Amino acid sequence: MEKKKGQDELLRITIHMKAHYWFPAGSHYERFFKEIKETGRIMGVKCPDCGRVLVPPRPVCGECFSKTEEWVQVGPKGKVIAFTSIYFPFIDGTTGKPRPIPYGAGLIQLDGAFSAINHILEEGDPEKLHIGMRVEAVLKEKREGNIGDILFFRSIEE
Amino acid sequence: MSDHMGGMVLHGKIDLPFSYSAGKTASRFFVELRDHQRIMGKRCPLCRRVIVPAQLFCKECFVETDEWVEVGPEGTLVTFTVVYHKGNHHPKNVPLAYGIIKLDGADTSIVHLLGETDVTKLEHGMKVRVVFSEKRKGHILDIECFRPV
Repeated sequence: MEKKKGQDELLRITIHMKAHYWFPAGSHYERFFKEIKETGRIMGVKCPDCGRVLVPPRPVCGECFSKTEEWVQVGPKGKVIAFTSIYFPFIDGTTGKPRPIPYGAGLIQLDGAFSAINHILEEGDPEKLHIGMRVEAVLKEKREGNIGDILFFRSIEE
Repeated sequence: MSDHMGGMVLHGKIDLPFSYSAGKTASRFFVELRDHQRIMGKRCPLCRRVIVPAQLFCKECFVETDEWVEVGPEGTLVTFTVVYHKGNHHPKNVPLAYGIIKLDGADTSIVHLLGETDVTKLEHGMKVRVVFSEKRKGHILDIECFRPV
């Protein structure tokens, strides 16, 4: 093919992704978020068969297919079981703005829970982060009943 | 909507402005759309497949593609879905339809909007033809949609 003007031009593609949606929480998430909002407690549910405490609460145990109806309080302290450090100011999809860097993100297993939740770690320095480090949930003062009510997890000395 | 059968409803909001460098192959693909209203693919030198949209590498053979090939402007509607649930992440108002279109001369299919038709009249295997946007800026939406022939 003959060479045309513009053929070797390199493009930068700009996209503004927007998706606003409504999400029916279901009975278990509803209670989970209401407890955080009203009492500041993080709740899980215990499987009657395997005894695992699922956080966030699931109405059915993924291993046993049993209904989970026993509510137990977990945390607010826990340990980091995986982490990463973020130095690139990604746009936070929930706000459209970047979060101050550096910060950490990790999987946190709350005391009393079997499963781990994915959340922000206040500590972003990979020299200071470690597997098993003790952390504590920091909650918003004015809570709204969503996962953003947990602001982040801060490291604690014990 | 503020509640759902009396239960709690969470409002989710994803707002992500971003940009990326298209690279040499996708850049030329978009430039061809913008300047010449042509849909281009690239042929793999080993398996001879024409890959559309043009890709730098053949993912089957792990070799660089080397030959530019114009495909379309007509093609076959391989499959489609009709969207009735509105949302501002769609580029058009509902009802709208997304199709997987295998352009004439291509060995792979592309996903795009189906338009200028009643969505209930769409059929698998029907012939469709590209409709280019009037204002093109080097973007996949330089193709406005595909319409039944």
